[in-house]
Amino acid sequence: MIIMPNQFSQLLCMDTIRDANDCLEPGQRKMLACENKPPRLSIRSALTISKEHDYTLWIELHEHSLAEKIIDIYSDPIKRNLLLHIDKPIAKDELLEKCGASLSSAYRKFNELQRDGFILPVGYTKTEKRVRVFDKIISKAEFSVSTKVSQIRLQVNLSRLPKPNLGEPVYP
Amino acid sequence: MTAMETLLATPFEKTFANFVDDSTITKIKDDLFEQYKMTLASSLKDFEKFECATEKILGNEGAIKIQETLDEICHLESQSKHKIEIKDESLKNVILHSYDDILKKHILDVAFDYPLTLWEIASRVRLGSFSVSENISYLISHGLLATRDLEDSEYNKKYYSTIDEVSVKMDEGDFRVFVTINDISDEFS
Repeated sequence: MIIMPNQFSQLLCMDTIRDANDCLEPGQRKMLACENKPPRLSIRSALTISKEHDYTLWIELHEHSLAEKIIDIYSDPIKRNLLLHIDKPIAKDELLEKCGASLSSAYRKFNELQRDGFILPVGYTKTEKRVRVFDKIISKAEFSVSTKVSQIRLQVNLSRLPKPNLGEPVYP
Repeated sequence: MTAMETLLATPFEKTFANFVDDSTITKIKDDLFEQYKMTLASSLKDFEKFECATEKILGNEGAIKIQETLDEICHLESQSKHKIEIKDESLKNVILHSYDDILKKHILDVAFDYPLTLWEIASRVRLGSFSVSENISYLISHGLLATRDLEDSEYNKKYYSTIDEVSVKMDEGDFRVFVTINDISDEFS
């Protein structure tokens, strides 16, 4: 079990996910924990990462506030639309236009998704004017909400995201 | 009146207008009022009456129009009579927004196991009365809280949550929302 900080953006940070991908064999799983803030300092299980096959991981969330954060993102129609419109690395302006919401709202929601680690810069376009392109980190999500239970599973597909130490790729 | 009828009433009314012209809807409304002293919105929560009025005005075509409308807003999952896929975008947003909002979700939890009067719900939620009544009103108007006591006074009406569980599946560009209908209305019928 690994102890990690209690920030959500760090939960989905690429280093944590790449580390899990590197140290797990297909079919294996590991649990990550987070710390409660003082004065009641305690460690609790936050999530389980299991490796389906190379570059495909499933994340199961156990910690309530993390689960709420995911529900919050998919409940927001603009954030949801932004995520659903990313099917390949895409420039920010193009994505904001596709989303269909007002530009200012879409811009704000895009920044929130990037801050929380759901959208990542993954490279540049090949065009004369280099434009940064972004991709989403979660390719599948499944969750259910009832009176008491919230089960959340997220699939992360690392094959679309840039490899470490190779520099950022260029897209046509 | 079932939980399913209440949940689907608002999107049904909106979508039905895409399949039937205004003059036909006016005739259905007139017939509902003459026969049952009901509005169109109320009849959708008591669906048999709506079906009777529609078939009276449109004949056999009425059932086809109703089916076309239902196909547009939801899909009944074959393995369970209580589980449906919600296709209507505005209903998807209302459901997800309500389960994401702490107070709305708390109200839905309180009214989950058995029907309660508005007063009972408000006293169990134990938050500011204005925000509670505003949120209860939102949930009733969007069909997430239902009542079986259409005839009773507002003071005595008992409400319950229409949804048992919401599940979401997102796969790349595909986003699907399923709900399991709360079957306590069957127990109390």
